[in-house]
Amino acid sequence: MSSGLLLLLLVGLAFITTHVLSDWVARKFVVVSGAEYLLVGLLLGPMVFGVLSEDQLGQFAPVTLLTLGFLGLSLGMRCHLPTLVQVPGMAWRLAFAQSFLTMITVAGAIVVVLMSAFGQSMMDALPTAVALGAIATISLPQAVEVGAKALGREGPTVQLLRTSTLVDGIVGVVTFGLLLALDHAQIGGLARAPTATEWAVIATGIGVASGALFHLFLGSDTSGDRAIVALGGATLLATGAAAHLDLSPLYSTTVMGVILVNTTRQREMLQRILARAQRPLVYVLLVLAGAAWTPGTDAFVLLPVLVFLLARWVGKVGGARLAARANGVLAVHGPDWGRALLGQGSLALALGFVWLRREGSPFPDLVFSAAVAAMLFTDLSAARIVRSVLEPLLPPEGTADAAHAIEGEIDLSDDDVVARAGG
Amino acid sequence: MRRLAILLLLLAAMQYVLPLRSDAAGTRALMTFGFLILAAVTVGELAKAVRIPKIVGYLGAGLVFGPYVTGVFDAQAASDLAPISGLAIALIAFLAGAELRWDETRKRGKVILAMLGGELMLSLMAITATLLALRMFVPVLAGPWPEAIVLSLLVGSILVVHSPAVTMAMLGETGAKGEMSRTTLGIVLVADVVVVLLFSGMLSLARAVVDSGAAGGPTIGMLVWEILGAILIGAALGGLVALYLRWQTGELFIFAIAVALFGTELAKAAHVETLLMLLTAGFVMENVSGGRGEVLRHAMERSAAPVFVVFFALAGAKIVPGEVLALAGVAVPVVLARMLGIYGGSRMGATWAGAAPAVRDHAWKGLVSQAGVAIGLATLLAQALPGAGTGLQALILAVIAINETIGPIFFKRGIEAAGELPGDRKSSAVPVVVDADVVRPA
Repeated sequence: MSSGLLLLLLVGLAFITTHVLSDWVARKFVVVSGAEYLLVGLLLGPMVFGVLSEDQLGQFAPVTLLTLGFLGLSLGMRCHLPTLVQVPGMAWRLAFAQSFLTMITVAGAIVVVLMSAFGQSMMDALPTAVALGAIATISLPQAVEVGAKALGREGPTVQLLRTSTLVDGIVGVVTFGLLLALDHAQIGGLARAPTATEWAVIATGIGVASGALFHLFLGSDTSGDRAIVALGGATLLATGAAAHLDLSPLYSTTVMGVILVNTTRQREMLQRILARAQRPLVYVLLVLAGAAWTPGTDAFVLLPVLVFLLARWVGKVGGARLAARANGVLAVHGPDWGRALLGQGSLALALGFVWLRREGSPFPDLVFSAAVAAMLFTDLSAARIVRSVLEPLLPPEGTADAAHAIEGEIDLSDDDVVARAGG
Repeated sequence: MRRLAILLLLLAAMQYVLPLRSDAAGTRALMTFGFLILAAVTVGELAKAVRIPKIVGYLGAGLVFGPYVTGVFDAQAASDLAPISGLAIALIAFLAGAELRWDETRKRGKVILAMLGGELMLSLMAITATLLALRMFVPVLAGPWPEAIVLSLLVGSILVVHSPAVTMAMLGETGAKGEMSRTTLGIVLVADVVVVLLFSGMLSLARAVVDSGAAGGPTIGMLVWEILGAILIGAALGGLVALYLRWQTGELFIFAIAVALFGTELAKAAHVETLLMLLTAGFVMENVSGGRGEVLRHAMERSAAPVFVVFFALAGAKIVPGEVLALAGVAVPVVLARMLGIYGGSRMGATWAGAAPAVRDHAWKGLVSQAGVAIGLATLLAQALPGAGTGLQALILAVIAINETIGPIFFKRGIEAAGELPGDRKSSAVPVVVDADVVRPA
């Protein structure tokens, strides 16, 4: 079967599933699609039936890169500052605390395992540990939406979870982007090798320049067609440039997304277009990632992966509980609100995939296997967990408790409004 | 100023980023794709500012930034983006088919066939005669007369083809609606089918006369399947798309691209004529979907916008200025002879069929353009006749390069002269075909 036809069948399957099955399944069974595509990919890949060969996987590289670009852009476009400043400061504190605690817990645990059990030096173990830490922070925003929708109620904890998934995404992508800049191999064609800081600036610059290019290109024309052309062109350029320089395309397009969402007048239209274009592509990425996965059975992969899963659980649940306790809001959000962030999602898998495909990455199979395992173990149950966490915290609509919950939310934000005004 | 800033920023990105590393997993192609979208649209706008059609700007951008002038992107990057051209051609064919409504086509059929017959015959004769007259300047044609005649006819059968891509793009760019525009589109589309048959026949003849050294050729059975199979499979695909639209009309953006890509791959797998198959699919979809096809057509037009831009830019990148200049002595007379054939033949057919004056006087201007299909046939010729075909390919490409540059300008002038631009005073009285022979203003 030709690569083109195969890709088409994948896109077609993903498209029909996106539009016909996934929304229905999410509503009916409170399940977020994703992990099943990984399994399909694994079955299609060289490991099982061999429908997708190694060569064909290589030919799909531009498609996977473009999907990474869209994922980053989509994350960046969630950072609409006028909307974000309305989020209570407490939610930011809790979100950042659980995010960093998760990253530190996972990275620390991995360093310990790699050093003690496998005799790696600190310097050898650190990049892998930080990469896994970045992956571990990421959580699944769709699970929060599907879980909250299943209950049909809103409340401060739902807002906290939304903020947390955004913060998790940003922390994970930025950490990973900076790691690739820091751990950058030397390249030819330059009078001197750029420093790690310079690579970080270049990665950021690609995003900023692409955002600026989008605006220059759009000018005063606000037509939808022109915005599509500008968005497509700028995303392709940013993704291609970052990947070409061995930097993280996710990071550069996230920066671009932040610029776009805060400067364009067609924010909602662009977000809508992006969501439509991205969903089937993400499913294709998952299938290809599944096909690219070669799960190791030896202890070298198995033990660190188990440690990763355990440390992530401790980081998310323990970190969230610790953060809520330290800030005196344990009663509002409950001791287990971090459980609602256990869903891993495609963004984490994308980071793992970048690590796997990047030349010279240490322990690529280990990092990618950890991302895949986390996704397989958590995604299918993530929305149900969110529902079970939220159920006791969200009183039925129209009750006095619900009104108090909303008041509590306003109270929390008041301090910050004052603080911001004072600052 | 803003446009120059965009171009400078883009050039800086390409200039400083690309040389730093060799291609890694398609990154160069991805960057070139993004660059071409933005750069070609910008140059297209610069062209529009001086009253030149945008697509000439897209072609110009491909030419200037391509491998043969400044080399901002190389031949390998252009070749890596070949699937984009394939997608563009598929989208164009599907959209063109969807533009044809059965009632309208039936009413305009006589005019279209008469004009097509006239212009194809005269332009084929004019091109062949010119080539034979100039055969001393074309080494491949300098052999015995029978061989020279057959090869000239073969070149003529390629050079009579028009460009559905340019026609559709120009109609989209100008928003032209009217009798002349619709008739021109009809002629261009039907010509495609006729030219495929004509070219295949001429190629078989050439193989019999010229010792090509190439093995095998298409049999009659294969040719019949290529055409009939395309119609059958295209109709089935169009029917399926119409069925899907009954059930689902939301989020058609990706679906539109998937249909075009699937059609292309299906045509390849079934060994049928791709353009004709997608044309039929679009036609059937539009005419059996009960008005739902319009939603898909709009989605397709939207998703196709960046693809079309890159398609034309890549076509421009294929022009080798040195070769065009070297062959100008033969290419320019051929271009003029072809134009004369198109003018005389279409006018003759229009007069005979009683077409509206605007159609009779201006439709020929929309038939000058050439692009993807002609380039594809020239490539086939080079493959089928490795010796003589390769020599003729350069000449054919030189003629196409000239026609693809001047064609859109001619068509735009024709649309303006026929008063079919939106908001044009004359276009408010768009003639409507009531009967094949009777035309009155609406």
